[in-house]
Amino acid sequence: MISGFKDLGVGVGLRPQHYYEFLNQKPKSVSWVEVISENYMDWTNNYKNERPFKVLENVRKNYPVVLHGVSLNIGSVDPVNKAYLNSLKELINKINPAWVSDHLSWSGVFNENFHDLLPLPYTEEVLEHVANKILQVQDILGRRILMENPSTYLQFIQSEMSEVEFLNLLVKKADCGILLDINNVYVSSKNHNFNALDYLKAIPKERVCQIHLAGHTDKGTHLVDTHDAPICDDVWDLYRWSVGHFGNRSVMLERDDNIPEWDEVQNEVLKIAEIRKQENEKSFIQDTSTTIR
Amino acid sequence: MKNLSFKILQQQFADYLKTGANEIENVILDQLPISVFERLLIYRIAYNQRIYSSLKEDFPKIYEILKEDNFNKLVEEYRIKYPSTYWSLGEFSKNLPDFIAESNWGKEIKYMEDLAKLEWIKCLCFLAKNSDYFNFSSIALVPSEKQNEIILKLDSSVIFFESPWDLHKKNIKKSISNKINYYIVYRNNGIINVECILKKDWNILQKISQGLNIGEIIEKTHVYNEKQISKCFSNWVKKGIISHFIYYGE
Repeated sequence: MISGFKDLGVGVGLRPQHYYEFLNQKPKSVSWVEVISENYMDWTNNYKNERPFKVLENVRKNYPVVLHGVSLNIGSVDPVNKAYLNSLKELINKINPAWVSDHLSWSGVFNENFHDLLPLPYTEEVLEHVANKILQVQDILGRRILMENPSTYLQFIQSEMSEVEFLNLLVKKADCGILLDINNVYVSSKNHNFNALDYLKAIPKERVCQIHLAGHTDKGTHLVDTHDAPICDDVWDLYRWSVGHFGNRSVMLERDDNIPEWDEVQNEVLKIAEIRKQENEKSFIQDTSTTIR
Repeated sequence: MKNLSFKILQQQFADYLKTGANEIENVILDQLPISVFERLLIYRIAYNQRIYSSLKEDFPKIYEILKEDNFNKLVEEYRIKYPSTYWSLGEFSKNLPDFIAESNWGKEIKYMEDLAKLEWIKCLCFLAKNSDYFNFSSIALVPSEKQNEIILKLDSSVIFFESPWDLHKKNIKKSISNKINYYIVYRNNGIINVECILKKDWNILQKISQGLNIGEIIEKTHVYNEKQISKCFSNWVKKGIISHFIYYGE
């Protein structure tokens, strides 16, 4: 793995529905949490998001925290938003997160935010533009960030390369890491008729610093990345393969909607841990057999 | 077909999300299993739903009054007039009261502006800092002859609001004789409370918020005697409206 990142083990996306458990019971099944940065950042007029921040501060006493943003807007033609980065940097200074991540997408243009993760054409021009913005962001924040592969529902005719080719070139140019969302790979593979495993094989191993696992909604003709359902069997299989291929990486469960009680979420977290353990044991046995021979 | 510049491509995509203008279709790859039209619609539906859900969550009473179709129209008009320029979707709601005031919505339903203001205040109240519990043991240590020097402090979640409308009633009408309703919005144990209070209580609470000590409040308040004022204070401490105090004595 590139420097600045380490394996934190198995984590979960921290949601208000589970604040009670994390503040009072401090579940041991989870060794870190990820939060949506914008939910804890001050607003544009410096209005302080006091209460949510206090919760985060208290959770931080017991768990490493990763900040995951949705409004960095790295893929927009708009220049980097300095006000946004200042607010993010303030949060970083207060919380000292393990790392910071966002998405390979754009969320707005001409200063308007659509609060969504919108798709990019994969061209040399866009590659240069996005890489430069990432370098600027990393310079301002004083740290490497992770870029998450998006789930997409359309592709542009003018793309000059595939998404995974673009991602490969981008992380080298920008010297950033990858937040590998396996569910996103799966969703996009179904929506655009490519092989998810081929995509994963093409990802540079050393750049993968974190993994997301989540559920989606099957609409019959396509999949939608809704994060509102348990992880499906195919995604579990891809994750299992990923542990064998990439080795241990910080991994977490994302559940953003239809959020169940903590016990149900914890069951999926425990399954993630079990898969890691099984794949690690398999690797150990294979390595030992090879050594003995 | 000539490639669009990156800037024009994003502009056309943005136009599609906002208005449905479909020029962007020309640059989308047409591939099974779904059409270009359906692929774009996934994004447009997601955008509209996200904005709608966020406003519905922040303004539930307005949604209740307008019902789905009209609320949808309100949301549509609002996002055109006040597009989100914020990184937090929560902040996007803040201009709705102003929009209602400027538009026909405020003219046709005259109390709607004030109702929107009150609902937004409730959102801000929710986000306010948590306070510590009132320290009864500390206040007991203040000598009784010095207790008038105590400065009571309102909880950081407390927000005051005035309106000529009976916003606290099920059927919202102008209050009798056009008198002003005095509201206090505060959070207690995570629950947001909205209370319509008497003007004399409002005046005392305003004095507390101005930093007057107990003695000064008693001196300037002529409608209650000392015992009655103490009872008010005690009640407000129980509700979490007063959350702590300052005493500068030895």
